Amino acid sequence: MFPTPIETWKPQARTGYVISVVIVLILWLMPLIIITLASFMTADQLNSGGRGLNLPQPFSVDGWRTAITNDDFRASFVNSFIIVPPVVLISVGLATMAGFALSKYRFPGQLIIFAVFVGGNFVPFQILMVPVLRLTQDLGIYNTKWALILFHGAFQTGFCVFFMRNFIAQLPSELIEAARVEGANEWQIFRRIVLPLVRPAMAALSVLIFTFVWNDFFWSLVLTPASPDGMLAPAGLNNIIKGRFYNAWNVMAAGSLLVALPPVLMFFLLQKQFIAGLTLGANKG
Amino acid sequence: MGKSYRLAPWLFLAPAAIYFFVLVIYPIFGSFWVSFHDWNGTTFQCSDGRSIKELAEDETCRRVPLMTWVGFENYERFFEKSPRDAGRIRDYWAGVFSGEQVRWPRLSVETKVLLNNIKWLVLFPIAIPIGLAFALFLNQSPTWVRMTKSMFFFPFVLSPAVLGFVFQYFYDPSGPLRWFYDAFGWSAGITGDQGKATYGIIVAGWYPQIAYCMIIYLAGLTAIEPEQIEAARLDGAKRWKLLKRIILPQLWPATFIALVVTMIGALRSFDLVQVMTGGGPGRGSSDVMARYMYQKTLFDQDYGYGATIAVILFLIMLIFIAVFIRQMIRQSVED
Amino acid sequence: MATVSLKNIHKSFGAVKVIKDASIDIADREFVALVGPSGCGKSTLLRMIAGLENITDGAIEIAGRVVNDVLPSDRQVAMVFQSYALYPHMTVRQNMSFGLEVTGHPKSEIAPKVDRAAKILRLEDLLERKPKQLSGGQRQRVAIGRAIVREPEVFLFDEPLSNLDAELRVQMRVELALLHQQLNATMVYVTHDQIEAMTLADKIVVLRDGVIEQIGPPMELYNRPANEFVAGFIGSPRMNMFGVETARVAGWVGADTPNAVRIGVRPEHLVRSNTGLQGQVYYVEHLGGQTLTHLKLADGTDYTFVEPGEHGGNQGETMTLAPATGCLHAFDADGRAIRS
Repeated sequence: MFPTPIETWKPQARTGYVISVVIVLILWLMPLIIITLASFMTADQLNSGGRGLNLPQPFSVDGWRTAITNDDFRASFVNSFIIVPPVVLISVGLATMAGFALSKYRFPGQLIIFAVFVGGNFVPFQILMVPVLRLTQDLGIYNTKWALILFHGAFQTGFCVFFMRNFIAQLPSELIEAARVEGANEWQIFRRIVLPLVRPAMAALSVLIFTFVWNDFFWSLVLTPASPDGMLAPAGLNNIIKGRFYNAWNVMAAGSLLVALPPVLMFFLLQKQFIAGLTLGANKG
Repeated sequence: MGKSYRLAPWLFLAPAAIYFFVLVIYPIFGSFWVSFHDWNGTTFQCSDGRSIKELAEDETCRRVPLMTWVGFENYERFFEKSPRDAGRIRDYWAGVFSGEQVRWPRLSVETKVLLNNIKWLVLFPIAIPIGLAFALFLNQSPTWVRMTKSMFFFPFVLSPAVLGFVFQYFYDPSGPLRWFYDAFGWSAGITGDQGKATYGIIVAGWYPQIAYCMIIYLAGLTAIEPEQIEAARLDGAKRWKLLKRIILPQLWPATFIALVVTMIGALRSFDLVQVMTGGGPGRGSSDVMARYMYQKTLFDQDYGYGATIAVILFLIMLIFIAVFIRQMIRQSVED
Repeated sequence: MATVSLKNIHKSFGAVKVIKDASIDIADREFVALVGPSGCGKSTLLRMIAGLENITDGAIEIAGRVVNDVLPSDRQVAMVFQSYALYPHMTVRQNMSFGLEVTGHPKSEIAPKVDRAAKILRLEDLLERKPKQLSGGQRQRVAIGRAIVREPEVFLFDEPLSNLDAELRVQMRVELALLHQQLNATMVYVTHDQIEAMTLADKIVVLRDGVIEQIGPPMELYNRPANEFVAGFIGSPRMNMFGVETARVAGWVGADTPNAVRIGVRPEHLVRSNTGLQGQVYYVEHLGGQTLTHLKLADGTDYTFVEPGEHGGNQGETMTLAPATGCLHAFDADGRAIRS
């Protein structure tokens, strides 16, 4: 292991390490610490020089209360909870099937099709903006949740196909051949052999997609700009609270923490899956 | 193999492929098309060619945009001031070197936007070696270290909107850094200062990017065969040599991914810029192509020009995407 | 009748020809081994019989029916893979039931068949376990059980014993032989280990680079190899090969074999003699029940002498050896055996 394992260090070096990790960690978390403090301060304290590493005096939940009781902000939160899960289901589900096709079969053009999925995942959103906007307007779903569900489902499919195809490629092909010799048809092979074995990967991917879509800002601005019916939480934070409560830093701080909470919670609860998802591919080659 | 074997992959692939191609790939061409036109987003005509005015009282028709063909005009417009601005910048540096008192010249918004994108491309990847340093720092097995790793990772899951706000609070002239500002005379803070805003945003972007690179490198480090490291140690290789000649080469796949993703991320950054400065202060001092395009399209009602900017951005990014795909295909063939 | 017939089979992967005009006839209930070094095409042939690879040219018949375009599942074959290919997320019972389930057999029919196969292979206590809880030998038996349940015409084995350790391999070899007797079924068995082929097969097919070098019962390949390759491949340690001049000088052959270029004799067919080939012992291996003496000639030719018992040569000594009667093999310039 590199660097040398800590167990082999002299005691002083070990204590030095522990201290340095703690210090670095606190510095690293400083932004978060300061925001949390701010969320519990009163507007007065914030405006009279209380910003920074000070304790809330008095301790106040005004910021939190204002943020939570704001109807539009709450609505954007609810929207997020309604919009994100279907997107995860659609993109992961469709991608698992596509990943199976692209990795366990041979057919002409498979590599190019795969490359298009991967490349499409990296394109800047702006190149899609105008046509997608027009499309949602034509379909009459502009400014509604459907626009976001429809579009995000499609866009995230790119990354999901990349991910699932690479994972399924690692399943031993002999399992599939054995099933074929035993008489299973292609759908049975997918449902009874492949699907049970890729469940961990689907879990990892779902956590990642949840985070990506929850944190989306751009498409929410473009497709559901003024609409409490469709806006996602981050856009809600920016437009509503920043717009109406500009300079009420405690409200902003509380709102930010609220928006950050679900992905952070998911991350801490499902760390292993999350990291497994991100690092697939970091070790290839 | 039977017919069902030949048909099956297409059936499995079709839903995802159709969905993706229609909503993601096809629109790319749509934007190319729009970039050759001029449109303000509000003029329409009927899909059968009649103008809206010709409709009877209670008649409706399917509306399509009424765009005017302008060819490459939008592209010319984007680069119109580039030669002039390049000249001004050259004169500026010439002046600096000859010791004169020079002021940074006035540039067009387009040039400022391009320069900012370049700043992002050059400075954003600094997160990579920092991420590596963190990974090396934290690559130990005791449980408490592993728990600390999670706490280092989490900036990655923050929404850019949240991130933007956090750093704005930080950068605010009467915020936590005001003692710092007073010492240096930076009265406008960071995001309030035309010359410094972009750098402030880039620093904010480093926060999650360092966490991401750290994750990638930690995974890469665990993939190195321990026996290789032990053999090298027995041979007498000490820390720096070991790092340089054994570890870093083996981390190349991780570095490659980190590089490509970071450079693509540098060009894509919309959210942070929009949240923290909206492109300002002033006209375009911290703006980037991704955000400028958004403003031009939806707020200045210049759809054609906005699409043009998007196309240029896309073409630049295509270089990096192509590099990534080429590497990926090479690896698939090897496996 | 579960016969298998390969008629003039050719197989190419793109421009690379991997099987060149192979024809094999397998009788009902025969145990046929396909042997050869890595890359000779034996696994490819097996997979073509199973239907997992297309046939570039030629015909394969199973039970008298041409099956070139028939799906694997319709060919009435069952395959045991080298890595066993057990479904990791299913129990042993589910693994063995899978094939019958997906082809629509009613549950009432499946359970007794699984139980019967489990009994034959002594898997009754393991039925509810998952593969990762089984040892290598147990997994292998489950893989065989999965095949038995389907009551196929032909069993196909792809190097089934390669992943077992040496001791287990010997044990499983005997079990496979007994299984063949018990099931009385046609079996096609691919291996790179010629000992497995010799002990299990009724008939051996030796392959090299996609070409069939010889087909015949084990003892025929042992006693009358058709060419140098088969002579060297069958039998362990390898047959010793000498230039014909060396053999003539040693008095082993006369002038009556004018086309001979090389002479071969198996290590176990040499005897100590007063006259014959003189060589120097450079290493002796004591295996307990037999002794391997390694000798070198003046011109550098390496050869081996195997004797039962504990006494071999002594390192450095000179030893004179002669072939036992009728145990010499002569090969011409093309490597083909010359038989009188």
